[in-house]
Amino acid sequence: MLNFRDDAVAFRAFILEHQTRVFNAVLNKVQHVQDAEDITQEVFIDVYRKPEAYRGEAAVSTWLYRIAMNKCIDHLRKKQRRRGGTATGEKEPMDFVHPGIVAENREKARFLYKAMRQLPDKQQTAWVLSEMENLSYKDIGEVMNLSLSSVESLLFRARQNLKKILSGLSKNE
Amino acid sequence: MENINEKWIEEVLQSAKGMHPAAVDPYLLTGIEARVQQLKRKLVVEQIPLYWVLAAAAAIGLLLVLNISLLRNEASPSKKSSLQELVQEYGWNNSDFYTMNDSK
Repeated sequence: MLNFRDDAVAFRAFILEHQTRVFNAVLNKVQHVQDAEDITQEVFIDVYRKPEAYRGEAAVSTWLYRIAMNKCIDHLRKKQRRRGGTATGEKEPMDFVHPGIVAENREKARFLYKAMRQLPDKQQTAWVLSEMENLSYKDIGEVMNLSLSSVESLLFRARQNLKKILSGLSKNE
Repeated sequence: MENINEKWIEEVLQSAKGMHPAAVDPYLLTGIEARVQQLKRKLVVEQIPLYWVLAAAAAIGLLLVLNISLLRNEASPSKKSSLQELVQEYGWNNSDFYTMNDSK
C-alpha cells in the first residue's frame, strides 16, 4: 500500500523519484510549463489523498501516468471550454517546444507539437506515451485501459492524422 | 517534390526522439508539501464526529435559552421568582457577615 499520511519522509522520496517522469509526460501533453507544474502537483496530492486507488495490479509509474493523463485531458477540456465560452477568449497557445529536444530538431519539433494539438484526445495521449515517453504498447494499454490491438490501431491512426496535418502545415508555412 | 515533403514529415515525426527530460522546478516539491499540510488540516476538521458538533450546538443553544430567560426575569422586577423571594426573606443577599452577627 502507498499510504504516506504518516510518513512525510517516504512521501518526499516518492515525489523525488517520480516527479520528473510525471512532469515531462504532462508537459508533452499540455505544452505549457506552468500548467504542467500545477497538474504534476495535483497528481501527487491525489496520491496522498487516495492511496487506496492503487491496487498494485500495475507498476506505480503506470498508475501515475494514468492519473496524470486523465488530469491533462480534464485540464485541456476546461481550457477549451473557457476559450470557446468567452467573446474575447484566451489566445491560441504559443508555439511550444519541449526544452529537452535536441537543438537541431527544435524547428521540426515545433511543427510536431502544433500538429499534436489537433489530434483527438486518445490519439494524442497514445502518441505522447509511445513516442515521447517510450512506453511499451502493453504499458500504454494499462495506462489507457485499452487492449493491445486498440493501442496499435490508435497509434496507427495518430500517425496517419499527424501526417495529414503536417502536410497541410508544410504547405501553409 | 512529393518525396521531399514526405521525407520532411517523417523527420518531423521523429524529431522528439532522443529528447532529454526537462528539469523539474525545485519549488514543485515545496509546493506539494505545502498543499499536503493544508490538506492535513482539512482532514482533521473533517474527522471531528458529527455527534460532537451536534452536542456542542445543543449546549450552546441551552445556554442561550437560559440567558434569555434570566434576562427577562431581571427586566420585570415586579415579578419576583420564588427563589428571589426566598433569598430576600432570609437575607441571604446580604454578604456583610459582621452586620449579620451584630444584629444577633
